[in-house]
Amino acid sequence: MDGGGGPAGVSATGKGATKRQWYPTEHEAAPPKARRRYTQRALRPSITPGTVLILLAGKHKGRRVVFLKQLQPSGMLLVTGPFRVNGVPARRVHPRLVIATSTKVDLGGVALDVFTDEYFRAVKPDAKKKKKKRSQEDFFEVADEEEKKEFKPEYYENNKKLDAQIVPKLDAEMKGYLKSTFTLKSGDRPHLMKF
Amino acid sequence: MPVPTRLFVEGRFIGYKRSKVKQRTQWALLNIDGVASKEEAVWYQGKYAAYVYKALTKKGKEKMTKRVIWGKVCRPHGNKGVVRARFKRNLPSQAMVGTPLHKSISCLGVPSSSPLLSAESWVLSGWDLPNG
Repeated sequence: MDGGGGPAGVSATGKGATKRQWYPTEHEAAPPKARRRYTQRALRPSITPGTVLILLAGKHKGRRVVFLKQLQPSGMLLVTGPFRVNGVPARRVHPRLVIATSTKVDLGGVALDVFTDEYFRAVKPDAKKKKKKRSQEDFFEVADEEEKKEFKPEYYENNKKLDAQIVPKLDAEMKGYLKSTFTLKSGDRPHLMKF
Repeated sequence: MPVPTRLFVEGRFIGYKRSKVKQRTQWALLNIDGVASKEEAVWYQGKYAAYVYKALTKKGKEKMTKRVIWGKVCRPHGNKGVVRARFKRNLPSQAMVGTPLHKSISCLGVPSSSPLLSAESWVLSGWDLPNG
């Protein structure tokens, strides 16, 4: 009605009321705090394209892999075994879950444009499937389907193409090195090791 | 198939940070194998530590009776390479060296600034308890 809803404590004096009992201390609402958004994640200098890394966690822990490039804006590292050599496919890895060795492979001109953050994003299960009403027969079927994780066919193709580019650049010694896994034995002191 | 690898260093829980008569159970003192000085201990600063132990029965959704208490190595303690660590839940005094049930602490090479590893994924990946 009259001048809309005012702040608490305003006396409802009706027509043309300009005086208020209470004035807010700030004229306008404070602007929302700008959130830090990463567009480019930094990378430690020991990791450059072609560096051999040791994976410290995950399914492939202990494996030596070749670093290809850093994906932006997530900052994750794109690595590959190569798959043909040690079974590690083109994969993302968190930069902190890795030890950089001083061994480098000359990558020179390997095509990596296919691999981006979007490429690796997990495919979410179809929302419709879950809401579907289950009849007695369906109940038993659905469980089996969801168990097997399937990758898009491009994954396999892209891995093969990548291997075809990288594996020729590796000599027998390097392949042997990448095949081996890193493990600590008793008496080993990682804090004194030179990687 | 994951190849069995050991990527952690064993250590021993030697006690809590303490004065003569009072102990501060939120701080654990760890003796990491092979670390003999304050300078060497600095490498472990910020790394994860894990106390892995077996329980008798499985609770609820657990897949195995191995359980983990995660912690972080915070700073060196003294001059001889002992290290201070804080765990998510304070370490039980049973874990101390010298008690019958003590187990090794595992110091992982993974710095704690990395995303937290889930206990199950670590323990289930064919990694045995340090003391068998």
